[in-house]
Amino acid sequence: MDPDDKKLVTDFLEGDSEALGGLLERYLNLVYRFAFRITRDSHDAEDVTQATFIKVWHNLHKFDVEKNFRTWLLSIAHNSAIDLLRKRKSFVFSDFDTLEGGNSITDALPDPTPLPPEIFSRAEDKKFLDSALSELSPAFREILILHHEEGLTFSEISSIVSKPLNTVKSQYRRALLTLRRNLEQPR
Amino acid sequence: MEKEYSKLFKKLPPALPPKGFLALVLARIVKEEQRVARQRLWFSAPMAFVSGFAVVFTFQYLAQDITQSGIAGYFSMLFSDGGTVLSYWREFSLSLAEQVPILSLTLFLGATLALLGSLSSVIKNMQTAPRYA
Repeated sequence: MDPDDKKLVTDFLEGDSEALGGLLERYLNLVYRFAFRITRDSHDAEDVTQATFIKVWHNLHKFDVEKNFRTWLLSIAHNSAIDLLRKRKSFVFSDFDTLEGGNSITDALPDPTPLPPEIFSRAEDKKFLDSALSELSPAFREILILHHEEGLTFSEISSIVSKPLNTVKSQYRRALLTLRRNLEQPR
Repeated sequence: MEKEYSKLFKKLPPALPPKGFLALVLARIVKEEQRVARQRLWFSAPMAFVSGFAVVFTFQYLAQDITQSGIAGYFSMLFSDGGTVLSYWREFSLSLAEQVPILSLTLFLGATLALLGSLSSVIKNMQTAPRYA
């Protein structure tokens, strides 16, 4: 755990209410960005961020200070986002998704290959990439964002989304394939 | 390939919270803190009231038990004939232990602990709850 996080968490548990403000300042942007990327709506992202920090306040006394605070925080944000999407009924899976977490179409596809230069340069356009990402399911988008934007390892992502490591890796592969397919489509 | 995608994701439009959002989240937490404090106050205030009565009743019960058990005689012996008590301290302690009114003492201590706990909770939550009202 980051020594600064550990100190802030310990200070809060010892009764220093200002320490929570410190944690909030450190992680507000991360949680908001994560929530925004999943929900794709600024109001929903605000709701998810608020719900996340309220849950943090409620559960911080149960947190093991030897564990990674960022991973714990993102797992709360993940659950809050899923709750909100379920309420909005926008947490849908494709017809090809199986109960085991597989996908009959993408599982049959080969491993993702590097992007051809023309698609890569097209994808460098912010809006193009954003629009291609928006077509992914929240679960796929989440894994890609956590791995590529936030730089988390698959093992950390697996504990955030509460899924086995191999499922996360397979979902990541499928997410990349779907993203690549979206990037190849002319807009 | 990994690096290529990571480079690409760095190009995503920034997603930043609106100005003043930190204060808003802090205010929500304070509001939640007050709500929880009010809830706890609703529970701990009647609990303090009830345990206050329980302390009075269990004390009366304990006092009655102490009088009936004759335990007071042991204490007077302790002060009047300390030497004998010291010589037969093992027998004295056993007899004393047999005479202790365990049930009434346990009830009294339980009620006292409940009173102290609920009073401490009332005081702690009263400092937080009214601000949220």
